Amino acid sequence: MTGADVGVSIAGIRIALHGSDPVLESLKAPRYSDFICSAGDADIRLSIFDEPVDYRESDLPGNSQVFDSGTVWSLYKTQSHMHILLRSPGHGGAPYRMATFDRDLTRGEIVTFRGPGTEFPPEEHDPLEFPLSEVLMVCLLARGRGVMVHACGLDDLGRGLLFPGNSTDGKSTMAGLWKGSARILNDDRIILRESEGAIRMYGTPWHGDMSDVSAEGTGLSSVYFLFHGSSNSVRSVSGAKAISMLLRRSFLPLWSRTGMEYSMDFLHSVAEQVPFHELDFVPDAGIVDFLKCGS
Amino acid sequence: MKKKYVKPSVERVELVVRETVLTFCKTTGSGGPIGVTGCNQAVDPTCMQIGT
Repeated sequence: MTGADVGVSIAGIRIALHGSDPVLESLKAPRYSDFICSAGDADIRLSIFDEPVDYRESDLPGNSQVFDSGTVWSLYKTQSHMHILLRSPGHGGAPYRMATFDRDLTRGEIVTFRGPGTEFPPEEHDPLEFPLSEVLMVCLLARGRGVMVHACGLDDLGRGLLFPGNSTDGKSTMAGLWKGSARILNDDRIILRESEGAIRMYGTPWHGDMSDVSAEGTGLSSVYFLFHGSSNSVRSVSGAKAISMLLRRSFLPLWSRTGMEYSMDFLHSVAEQVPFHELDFVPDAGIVDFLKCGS
Repeated sequence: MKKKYVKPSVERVELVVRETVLTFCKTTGSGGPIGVTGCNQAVDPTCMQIGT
């Protein structure tokens, strides 16, 4: 297979992509610019095949399904491989892409399908499209590397603040309020990892409403669970409640017992090392001053 | 010299471990890449529960 190699480093996890120029062109989007690196020393190497093959003539995974997201993707495992199969209800349920990996997640390939019901728009040529790359990242993290959380993260002069929240809880709003006075890592997807006994957090390319992202990590100093309030107030939260609140706002490997055990142990470790809070906030500049002044 | 055996006194200790059950629901739209989000209570028999 001819083509070029591009590396993407997310939270220090290096993904090498091999494909044709048109396929790799999508990695020139601004959201990836901070994450591009050399393709050497990769944790996983992926080959992207841009010539679609007919899914009716392809060897699709059979009855080895281990998880059905109920949305676009399903996960399959066989003795030697793991597959992420993408089907879109908008495409009549036809499979339009499949990623196949070896079981130790060091090599893989991504194939695009053609056939009845597989028409999709050009923007989906991005090899790191939603949700494929994020599901892959959750799989990679589950092997002792860390956890991805549904959160806004920022670096306030070396103080790493994490704001976990479900949809509409105010993550992008919070990022917007801090813009200009802190480095925004990401407003929607943050990866937590342990490094030299401390918890660090990293931005990802997968942003929400706010496009500011940063690949460089920072030490995690405080966690604030977001709640809309009539005034700014903060309450400390700890123990099982703190861990369960973060679990609910994490992207977990629900199909893997060992992955889940690791994720829960890891989040337990986070809660032991970093103070957790519930934060009621009013969406104006006052919340920035409130938190900067050491609430 | 032999040391006389003394039966150790044993105190009864009860540990109460509070069970936490988290519920996750498959969802469309707001479940992120996994398509699953934490919910406050089991509203559907298909919800996944994780006990800690």
